[in-house]
Amino acid sequence: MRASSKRALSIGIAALFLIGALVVYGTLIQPTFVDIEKMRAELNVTQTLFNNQKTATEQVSKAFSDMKNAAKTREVISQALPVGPNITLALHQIESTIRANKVTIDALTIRAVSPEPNKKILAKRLGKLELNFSASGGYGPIRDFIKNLETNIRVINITNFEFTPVSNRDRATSEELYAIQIVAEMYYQED
Amino acid sequence: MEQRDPQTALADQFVVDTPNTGLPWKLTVFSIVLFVFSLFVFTGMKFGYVSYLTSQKENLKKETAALAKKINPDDQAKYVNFYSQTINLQKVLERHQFSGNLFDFLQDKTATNVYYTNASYSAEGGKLTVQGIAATSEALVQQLSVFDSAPELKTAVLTQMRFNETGKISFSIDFEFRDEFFAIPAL
Repeated sequence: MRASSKRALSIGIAALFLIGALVVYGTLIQPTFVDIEKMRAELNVTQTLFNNQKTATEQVSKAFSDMKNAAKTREVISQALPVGPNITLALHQIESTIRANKVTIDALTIRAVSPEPNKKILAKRLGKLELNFSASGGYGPIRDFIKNLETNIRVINITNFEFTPVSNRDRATSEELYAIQIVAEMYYQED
Repeated sequence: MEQRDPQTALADQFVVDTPNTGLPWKLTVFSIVLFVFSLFVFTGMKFGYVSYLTSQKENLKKETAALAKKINPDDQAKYVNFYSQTINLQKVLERHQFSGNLFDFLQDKTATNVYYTNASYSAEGGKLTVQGIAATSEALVQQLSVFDSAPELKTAVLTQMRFNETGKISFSIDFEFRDEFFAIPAL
């Protein structure tokens, strides 16, 4: 083979391999590189999600442990605002306040009214019990009854009351008697 | 002057120039190396790096899912309840009013020759209406001036006044209390 032919052949082979290298770059390496970039971005997102989740899980675990340690606080909160209407407890509270203050209860109705929605995320709705009752007794006992009712463990909000004198007097103490008609709200948390 | 070997000098006479083919073969070798290198890079990316990234991503997904399982659903429910109770209790306490303070207020501010017969309270707006009896008109005026200077009140308005047959004065007063008056229970 003549030298010039060998030269042309070697140039041709070199050109073929160069073109081959370009084809490999253009059709295989370049798209794979694009895929890799995409995968790396996804991996970054997944890594960030994992880190956030890990931090959140740690915080939640800490909050759980704090909550478990604060058993006394939970108990007090549950007494002030029980989960569920717990009407028996409501009646017991009113009854014991009446007994402690020596007033007489004349009538009592308890009615559940529509709960209040909560704007906070995850927070459950605030349930309400409407109490309508009348009690009678001397001025001092009624005053103390109202005060004790409002400072009792389960929160009661008096929305209205009507205080009127009763014509007859207390036989034992000959103290003037009064009647009070109360509308109040008691609260609970929906389960 | 240097003396050359006669045989070498003779051989030099018959040397033929060989064609210079070095560059094309070097180019060929270079292009083959480049081609093989590009294939190697592609194989490395496709079966090495991509597989590595995929397995990393799968591992992270599994670990993220495992993290979610670490939280006990019972604890979660208890915590949501506790959180809701705290939020709701805060809301309830913010609106909690101590209407029992009214009794102390009236006891402290009422003159001896004035007494009340009826009282009607509404938490909305902190309003109280009282009906009562004053021994004389001077006693009532004095009583009203006490209410006018009371810092607990926004307003105290005499809405009704009537002389009885006995000479006493029956009256009705509308009170509007300041919000802070009901905020904490009176001792």
